[in-house]
Amino acid sequence: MKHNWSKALLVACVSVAAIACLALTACGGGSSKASSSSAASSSAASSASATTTSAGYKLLEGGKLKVVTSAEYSPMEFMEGSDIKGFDIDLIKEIGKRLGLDVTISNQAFDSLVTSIAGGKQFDCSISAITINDERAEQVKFTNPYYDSNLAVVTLANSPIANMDALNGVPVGAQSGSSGEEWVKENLKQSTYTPFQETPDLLAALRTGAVQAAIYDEPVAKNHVSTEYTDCKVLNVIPTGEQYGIIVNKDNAALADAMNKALADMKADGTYDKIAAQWFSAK
Amino acid sequence: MSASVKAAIKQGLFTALALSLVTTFVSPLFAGALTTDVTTAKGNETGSDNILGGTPTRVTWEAVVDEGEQVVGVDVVYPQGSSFSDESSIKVTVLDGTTRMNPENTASLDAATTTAKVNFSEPLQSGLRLRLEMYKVSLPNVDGAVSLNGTYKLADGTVKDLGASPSIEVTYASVAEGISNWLDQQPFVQAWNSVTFLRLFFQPQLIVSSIPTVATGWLISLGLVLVGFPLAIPLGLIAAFMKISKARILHILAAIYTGVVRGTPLFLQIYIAFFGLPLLGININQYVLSILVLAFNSGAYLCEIFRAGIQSIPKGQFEASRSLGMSGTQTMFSVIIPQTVRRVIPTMTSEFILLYKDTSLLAAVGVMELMLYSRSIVSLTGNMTPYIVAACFYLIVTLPLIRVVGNLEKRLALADNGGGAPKKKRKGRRDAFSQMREEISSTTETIEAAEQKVAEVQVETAAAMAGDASVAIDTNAAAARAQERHEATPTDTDERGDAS
Repeated sequence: MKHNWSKALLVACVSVAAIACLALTACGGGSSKASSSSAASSSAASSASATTTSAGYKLLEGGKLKVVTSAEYSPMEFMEGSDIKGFDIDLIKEIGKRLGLDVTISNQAFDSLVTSIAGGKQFDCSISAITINDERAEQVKFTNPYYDSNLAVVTLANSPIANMDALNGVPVGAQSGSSGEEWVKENLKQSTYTPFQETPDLLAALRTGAVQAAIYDEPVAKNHVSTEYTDCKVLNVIPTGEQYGIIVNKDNAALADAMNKALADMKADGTYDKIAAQWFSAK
Repeated sequence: MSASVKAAIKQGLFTALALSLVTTFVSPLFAGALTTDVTTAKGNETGSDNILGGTPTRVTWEAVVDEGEQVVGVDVVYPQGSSFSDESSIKVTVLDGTTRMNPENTASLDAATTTAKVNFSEPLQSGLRLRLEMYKVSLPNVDGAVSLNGTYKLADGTVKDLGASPSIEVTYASVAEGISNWLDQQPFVQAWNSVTFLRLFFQPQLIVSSIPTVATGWLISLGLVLVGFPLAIPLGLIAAFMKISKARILHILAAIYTGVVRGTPLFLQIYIAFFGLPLLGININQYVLSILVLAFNSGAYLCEIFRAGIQSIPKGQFEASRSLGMSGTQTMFSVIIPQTVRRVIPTMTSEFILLYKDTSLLAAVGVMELMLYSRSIVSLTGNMTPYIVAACFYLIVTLPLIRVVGNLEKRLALADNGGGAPKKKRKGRRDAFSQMREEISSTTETIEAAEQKVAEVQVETAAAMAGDASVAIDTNAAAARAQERHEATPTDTDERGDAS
């Protein structure tokens, strides 16, 4: 008797789940066919009501620009005490100011940023030294590039690796989901590759010898070796000419347009250079 | 058991090694004015670095303009069997050293000749690096090396040959990728994927294509815990003996071990082991180190489980064994421990489940296990589906074990209560059943009696009519027939009712 009860309960649970799923499909299917306002209407249905501003773009909460970043990437974005600081942060705060919005910054793992923005329910945009590429552009909408970068190979200062040719075959590491990871996978076919979720873990592994080279973005690498990681050096800069962009939800291209305008204005009136000079002494 | 585990781990390691050796990077050293020095393709098999032919990938091609030349155009020709689609695109980057230049250019992909064409309005000066990224282009479906060719045009109008580029190793598309590609084309899949939630969490193509990779991670996770857990058992047992020992020093040592291990997160212990030990000059293979950390952690929990198990045996048993002339050790190993084993098995199984789930923490330090394999696909695709696949792989192991624990606990309770609660319930149920049966049989008895009466009446009537003794025998036969029918359908009261 007891077994039958638990079985019945299980059946009930499964059928409820299945019905919920079907209902969800039906709802979602309908609204996605509707028009461009589908995202607004579907999120209005959920608890967080999106608001459409006079400028035409949507915000999850009126008057607020919710930004997410992965604050482990100095000088682009990093934690200082409980504050998130960096070039990207100053840049997005300035953009927020120009759009008349309060900027709130949240912290999250780098490899989940694109997914978060594609989901579109938690954050309006993400700025986190995200390299523009087509794979990401399939999931989210990029603004115009705001910074030119390359990849850098970082090794210990006393590393026996003398040049790039010696790199193929030694254990290397990069940040999970980064352009450095892709470069390693494509170009260092003979190396064992280890992904790390955050750059500090990657550098810790470099110091312990678990990996002999770390491949990540040039401005960050250069900053690292000249500040906290003086026992490391930049072996080489890999010219990839990649560019960073801010990402927003695909249904919210108007927000990207508004940001592009703000970016262009900032470059024209010198604010951009002023912010850059604050964070990149060498460049 | 441990042999199969070793095999699983070996397989995992071997796969990783094989993947890294699948292709060899040929460095290009040929004379030419526009030197192609990089040609790579992005691995397009979900979760691996393999480049599958006939499947869209991203090809990166780089060349440097040589001394004394000015390049105004480049045509990169793909080998026969390649294909471009409507979704293919090209991105042009020009670099001076590490500085990005933005020269005016027109770039296009010609699907008919599978050629990528780039033209510059201002010639590229020598020393500049040209980088082309071609998205969603398919290389030929072959098993072997392919390379790109083409021509380039100088400012004075001469056209020169590019020569073969560094080669790209291509392999045949796998079954999973094939199914995934087929699903790509299906209308129902497209409809399903048009819902953001379903696309991001339950994308059918990704479920199919991520299974082989996630399964590899699953074997490794399972291997780690199947080797680590048996190692933790003796460790826990020794610590448990130390803890109940009368020697103060042993007790203190064991208390420190369990206190520190149980009082700090496993996550932290993993970080210390992986980043701390190498600094002390201790370099261990990361899988071996993972097993050691897991065993060390689990040992502390098992210690407490064993200690509680041993101490749960009534003191009277010690005293009885000792009074029979057994030594302390004898008592422990032939009286106490056998009883303890039965008691701790459910808790141990729970601990096994916990440890199996905790292997996911190893992802943080780059141990390729279930979690990291699925995360690597998530980070590449920006889609959460592989996590759902990973969840299923965890559940394959944990759900049956959770059930086993439940059953074991029930049985233990049963034994402890000397045929306690659950059995009683069943007995109660049986009582209700037999009561019902009794009711039925009493009903049938009534019916039977009625039938017999009918038969008797018949017999009496017949006797009265014939007054013959032979009829008396018939009476008995009728009664016997009634009895037979009753036995054949003992519970079928309706029919019997009708019959009566």
